[in-house]
Parts: sequence; structure tokens; C-alpha cells
Amino acid sequence: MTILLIVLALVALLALRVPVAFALGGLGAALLFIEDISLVMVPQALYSGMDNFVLLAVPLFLLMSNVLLKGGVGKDLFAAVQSWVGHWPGGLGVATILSCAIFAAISGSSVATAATIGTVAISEMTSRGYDRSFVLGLIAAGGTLGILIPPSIPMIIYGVVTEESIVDLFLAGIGPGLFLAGLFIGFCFLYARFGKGYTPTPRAAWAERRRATLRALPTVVLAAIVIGGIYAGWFTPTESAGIGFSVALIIVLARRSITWPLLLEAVRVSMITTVSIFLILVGAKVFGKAITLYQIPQEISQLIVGNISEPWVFILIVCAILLVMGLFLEALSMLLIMVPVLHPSLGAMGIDPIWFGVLFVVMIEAALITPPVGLNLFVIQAVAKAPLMDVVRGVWPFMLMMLATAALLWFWPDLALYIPFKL
Amino acid sequence: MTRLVDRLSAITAGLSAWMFFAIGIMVTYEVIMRKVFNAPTIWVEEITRFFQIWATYIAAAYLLHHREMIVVEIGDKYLGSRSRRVLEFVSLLVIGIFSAVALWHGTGILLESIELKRATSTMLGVPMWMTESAIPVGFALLFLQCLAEMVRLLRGELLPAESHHGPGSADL
Repeated sequence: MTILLIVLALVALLALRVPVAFALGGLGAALLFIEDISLVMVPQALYSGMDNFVLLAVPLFLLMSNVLLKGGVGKDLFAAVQSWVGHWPGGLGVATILSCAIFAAISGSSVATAATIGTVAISEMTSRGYDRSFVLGLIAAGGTLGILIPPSIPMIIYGVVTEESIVDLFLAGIGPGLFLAGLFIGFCFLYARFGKGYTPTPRAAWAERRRATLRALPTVVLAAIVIGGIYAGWFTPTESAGIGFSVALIIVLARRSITWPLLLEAVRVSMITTVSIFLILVGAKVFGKAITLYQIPQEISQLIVGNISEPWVFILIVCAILLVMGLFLEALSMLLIMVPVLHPSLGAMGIDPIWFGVLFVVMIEAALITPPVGLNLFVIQAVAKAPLMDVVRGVWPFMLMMLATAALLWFWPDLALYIPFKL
Repeated sequence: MTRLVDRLSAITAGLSAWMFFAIGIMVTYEVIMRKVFNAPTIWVEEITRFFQIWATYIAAAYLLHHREMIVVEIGDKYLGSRSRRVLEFVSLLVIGIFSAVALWHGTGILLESIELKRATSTMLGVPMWMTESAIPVGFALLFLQCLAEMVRLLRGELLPAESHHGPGSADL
């Protein structure tokens, strides 16, 4: 009963358009107040929530990708990849996905990835006669690689909330990320073969390839350092982010591709994104303390274990709930509302928390591009200035591929777990 | 008066942005000192965390003013401007009350730390009040900004851009 009331109160606050951070924090504080527990817990949670070295990776990864973005790296990356694969069947589509995958390795966010590659790729592809819906769907889907291929901000937050290893989470994202990229590329070939037709791009000359590649090379090397450094154990994710940011700064300064106003904008946008994420995080922390005192996660865990004997039923229900939540919540809010409640049940169900984290991220992304009202659809719509229906029509094959990947993860957990634990 | 609050929030937000920038530089410095010169610092780990606490809370007011906090965008297209204003007011009320609670109890903790001369149990031994004050300061700013936004609503001034969603905002 209490559970139901709390859920209703949360939904009501969110529907009233109270910012997610304060809907969670305010409800948490109210719950503490009702039980006559000292509200000193509120500032304590606010303080301890931010007093965390691991979380520093969030602003630093954001700074790194924003500095590169404002330095025009997206365009160079796309140009370089296109010079190699542009003449393939469906080549611009393939170039789009590959650029997204490479950019994903320097960006922890799907929207930044989709927006960066999208601004270049959309006009390039539509002008060559690719079907508009296909292009928009492709960009929306390519963007989701941003949070699967490390670094990934949702995975950092997942790691902080569940106290699981962020390095393991990052590494576990690589397999499914590359697998999805492969699926998307395969779909581009199919489109080229059976789709509405397009004007193929001529094969680029070697001089052109060399020029474009050299221009994009520093970014690719940076991506390799960031991920390779974490993988090899040279740096922690936070250190890797710090180094990545400094090197990004050096790259754009050396190329003189960033101006003072652009740098200011990069710093400002990073701050806004960081703070809006962190406020939700601490709001969720206050909320989490309160519901723990009410023993809600334990009760839910008992409820689940008592009624659901099969882990696959549990996973199926979680996935269904996420698909519904994706209609109106963005990635991080979904994660911060669901994970603290579900985490205690994982052990009882015998589910690997790292595997669950990866599945969760895949499902969040699938939910965000699920028509009719996934949030990422709106973002793509805004980037492309296209009617929403165009995006929706293009996105469903990709959504099905993502759901299929989620299902595959169930039957073949090593897709995620091989790289961190068995390699 | 409301302008003054906006100005203050903009200044602290600018400070916050450059604090995150500085954190990046400090972390890089630490990695270089440790890996290259084999001389790890004793201060980076702690100071960067302190910067993070301050930078987060002093920017909250700015985010409120620019409506950059993440809200659930559902059905707001169908709202008239009057009901939108009412909802806006309710939301400000929730944020305002929460800020007041954080400010009040945060100040309590702060005063206690000053009285007991609490310090971190690290080599630096930084006095706790230096970082704990971030909470009351940040939420005092947020509280003021809340009041300023309420005054604006009651005066009937135009709301900021209805939908700020797009690339570069807080979606991941």
C-alpha cells in the first residue's frame, strides 16, 4: 500500500512538471518528515552524494566531448570515414554508423553523438537521394551507440549507484555496442540492395583519403587512449577523462579550430549538463534514503522473489516497464528511479549486476527511440527539423534490432561479459 | 531586485563552469606527476572533490532561471498559458521548500563543524566548514532565485522559452 502511494505521489509530482531532481528530493524529504526522521539527513545526503571522486568522470568526459565538438571534430570524422567507405553500397549510411561508433568512444552521450554526426550526415545523405526516414532512423539509432560504447555517462551513474566496477561496465558495453553497429551496417547494405535507391558516392582518391584521415587521426588516437588506458588499467575512468579532456584541448588549440566564444560555450554547456545530472543524482539519493527507511526496496525485492521464480520473467517485466517509462522520462531519470529499487533483487535472482547494467542501457535506449513518444525521437526531430512522423517511420527497424540485441544478451550473456571477464 | 538575483546566479554559474574546467586540469596534473615523475600529489584527489561539491550547488540557481533542469515533458503542448503558470508556481514552491530545508539544516551542520573544529581525516586535514558551506550557500542562492521567479510569475512577466529541448541541453 505504501509502495503504491509513493509511486502515485512521484508520478503526480513529475506530471506537475516539477523538475525530476526536486520531485525525487522533495518527495524523499517529505517521507522523512512524515516518519519524524530528522531532516538533517537531507544536507548530509546532498553533501555525501557529491563528495565522490568517481563522479568527476562525468564533467570531464562531457568537457572532452564538448571541446572536440565545438572544435569541429564531427565533420572531420565523418569526412575521413566517408573517404574510405563512401563508395560501398549504402556507403554514406555505413559511414554514418562508423562515425557514430568512433565518436561514441569519446562521448558518453547518445544525444551528443546523434547531434554531432547528424548535422553533417543528414544533409549529405538526403542530397544523395537516401530516403529521409531511413536517414533519420539511422542517426537516432547510431546515437544510441554513444552510451553503449565506453565512455558512457549512464554507466558511470549505474556504477556509482550500485557500487559496481565502472571499468567492468565500460568493457561490458563494448561487445553489444560493436554488435549493434554491425547490425546497423548490415541494414545499410540491405537498404542499398532493396531500398528506394540513391546516388552512389564516387570512390575517393588516395590523396583525399590521406588528407581526411590525417585530419581525423588525432581524434581517433584520443579515443584509443581513453578506452585503451582504462582497459589496460593505466588510468581509472576519472583519470582517463581528465587526460582525455586535456588532450582534446591541445588538439583543438593546435588545429586552431576553436575560438574563445566556442570554448566558453563548450565549458558552459558541460557545466549545465553536469549539474542537471548531479542534481537528479542527489535528489535520487535523498529519495533512496527515505524509501530505504521505509524498507521499500526490501519489500519490493521480497515481492519479486516471492512471486517470480524465473529470472527471465523478472527481466521481461523490467524491460516492459522501461519501455513504458521511456515514453516520458529521459535515460538518467529512468536509471535513477529504477536501479536502486531493483538492485537488491538481482542477487536473489542470480543475475549478474554488470550484465544487468548493460541490458538496462540497451533497453533504455530502445525505449527512447520507441514510437510514438520516445524522447530521442524529439531530439532527432529538432536536429533535422523534420516532421516527427518521418523520424518514427524510419526508426522502427532499428528499434527492433535493439530489442533483438537485448533478447540475444539474455541467451548469450558473453556478448557483454566476455571482454571484461574472460578475455 | 530580481535582476540582481539573476546576475548573482550567472556569476556563480560562470565560476562553477570554470571550476569543472580546473578539475580537469588538476586531474591531468596528478596523472602526469604520478606516472611520469612518480611523485603523486596529496591534494588533487581531495581538492577536486571539494571543487565538485561547490561547483554543483552554486550553479543550481542558474539552471532554474534558464529552465535547464530536466522535467518530464508530457502533454505540456496542450496546456493553456494560465494552467502552465499555475504548474510553474507549484514547481517553484516544491523547489523553494526543499531549498529552505537544505539551507536550514545545512547551516546547522556547518555551525556545528565550526564549533567542533571538524576537519577531514586526510593528510590535508581541510576544515569541514570550507566544503560544508557549499550546501547552505548553494541553496540560499537557489531559494532567492525561486523567489525571484515567483515574483516574475505573479507580475505576469513572460515565461522563458517553453521548450528548451534540443541538442546541448541535458539529455544523454
